Amino acid sequence: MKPIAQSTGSRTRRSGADAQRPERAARFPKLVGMCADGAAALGGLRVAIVGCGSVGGRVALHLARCGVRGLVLIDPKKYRPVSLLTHECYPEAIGKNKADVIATLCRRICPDLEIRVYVKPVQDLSLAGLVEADVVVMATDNLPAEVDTGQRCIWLGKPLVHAALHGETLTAVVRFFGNLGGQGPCPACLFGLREWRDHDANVRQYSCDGTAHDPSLEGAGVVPTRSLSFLCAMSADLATNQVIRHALRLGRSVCNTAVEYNGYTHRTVVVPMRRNSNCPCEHVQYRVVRSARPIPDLSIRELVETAGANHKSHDLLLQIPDMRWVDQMKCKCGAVTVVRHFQPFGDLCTQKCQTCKRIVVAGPMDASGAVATVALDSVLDVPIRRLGVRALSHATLRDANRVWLVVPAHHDSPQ
Amino acid sequence: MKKTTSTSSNRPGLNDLSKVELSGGVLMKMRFAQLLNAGSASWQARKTAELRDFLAIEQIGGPIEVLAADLSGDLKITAEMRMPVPRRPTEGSGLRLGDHAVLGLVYTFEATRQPQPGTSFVYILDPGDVWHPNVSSGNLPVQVLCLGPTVPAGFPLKHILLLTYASLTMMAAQFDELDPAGVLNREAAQWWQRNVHLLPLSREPFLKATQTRKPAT
Ligand SMILES: [Zn+2]
Ligand SMILES: [Zn+2]
Repeated sequence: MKPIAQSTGSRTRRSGADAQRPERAARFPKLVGMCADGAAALGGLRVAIVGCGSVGGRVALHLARCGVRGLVLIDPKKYRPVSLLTHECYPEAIGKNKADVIATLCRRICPDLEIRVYVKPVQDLSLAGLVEADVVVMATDNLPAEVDTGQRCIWLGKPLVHAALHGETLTAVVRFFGNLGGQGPCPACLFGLREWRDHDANVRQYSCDGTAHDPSLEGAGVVPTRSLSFLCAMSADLATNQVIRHALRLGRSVCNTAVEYNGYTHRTVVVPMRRNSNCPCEHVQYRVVRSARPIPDLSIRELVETAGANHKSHDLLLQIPDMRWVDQMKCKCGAVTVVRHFQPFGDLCTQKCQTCKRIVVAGPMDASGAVATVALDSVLDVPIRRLGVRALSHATLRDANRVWLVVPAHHDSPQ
Repeated sequence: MKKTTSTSSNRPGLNDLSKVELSGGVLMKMRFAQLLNAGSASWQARKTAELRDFLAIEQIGGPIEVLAADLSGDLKITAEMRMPVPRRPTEGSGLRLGDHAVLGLVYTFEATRQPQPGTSFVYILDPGDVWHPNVSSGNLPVQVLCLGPTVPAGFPLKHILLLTYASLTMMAAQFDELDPAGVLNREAAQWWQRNVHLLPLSREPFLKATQTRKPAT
């Protein structure tokens, strides 16, 4: 996987702008019930925003003004002329990537903000891409992206703020999923039949030749959310309120609650949300382990030891993203060629048969996306780099009871 | 060895395979595969359950025989399925029909939670010359069967088997090159469009095929 474009995956923190901090602190209210220094607490906060449109874009601008430490901005889409009606944007932005434009605006508001930009669907982001975030804000009208983001936040134990709206009834809704230990609700827990139907209509489609189509990105069959600019702003305001309340522990815990504001009745309703036992998501929190050395430099034994797992356990399964393990392959002459190598998905693994000198190609039954570590005994002490993996963002280990996500300590890995 | 009778009145359907008791050689296959089953408890249980369904179909005399099963990483099953299989026509004799296909089935952990491309489950290991619009041919090392644009998350492997049966017997193949799923063998698609009178290769439903086979012993 490669970083997209110049701005994608880039992280910047401008120096020389610290002079602006005191000004911000002077404006920061003495919030009721706030124990610590609010401005300082927010100054350490990193927020990932999935969907930088009419709601998510505004949340990003709010958070930049609040003086958070970092933002991860994820959105595959560009501004269109119709965006002027609901988004915080101007005609110059039309045709530009939403995430890039929002990043530029946030940097102008707060030059020392650390920003990462990903111009791609959240589903294509490496799992490690959200590891550094303290809170994730989701503001997308794409149900597969909602399910995927919800699942990632459960795995990583990240609080998830879901900002949504219903234009026809002037309703803004903000749901806060606490994701403590994977036991609470997730967005998919709340889906009914209608949501699953819409979800299925928007999932990625593949041609037999392997080409992928995202109906929601291509605009085919997707009903655009109808809303008014102020309602989008209201949803963004409520979402930011929940982020700040959570970060500064203001008032009652907002975990696993939904806030609904209705513009007709001016009523605000707060309701608890519960886990649905039929939810198809994996409600398990991963243990995130940071490796001081780049993961490809570790041997599998070292990788397993870094995680604190046991490589001799018959349960332990290793997964390297986008790679498959090829143990051996069988030639038509019957001879077996030992491979013991990781191979990128989609690449052909070929070797010459030592017996008949024919070229042997690994078939699907010779490869596995996940491999039991007991089956790796003969290569346990070989650096992963020498097993065909040059760069990777993370590795996953799972046994019967636990899952470990090993990420580099310094997160500048490929996404 | 316990014999399972397979009359239409008491033969379990695809939905109650869990009631089928495995015995004899079939049970041995299950035990052997379970010697190395890795991953989270739910993934291990899922792999076991999917393999058990296959073995239950074999136990009740269904049209498949499991040749090998690997639960150690991804779930991988090699199975022989008895059914008419279209093979590349020759100059003189036209379309040839095989009486079985050896299938390689792969089910990844990701398939339990995310929709997958229709090409990521079923490979035809034998015969090597399947003549079918949705089966790849040519220079590829392995023949892939495309089951459609997307297979939903968590789709049971027994249903994939059913789709494979319907597809290879040409009961439900996709000929239209303009369809989003596309075709994998254009030449075969055009050939079949000219020879629709040969369709389908079988009218036996999968369950009927289950019924008429001699039970496994
Ligand atoms: Zn859930
Ligand atoms: Zn050979």
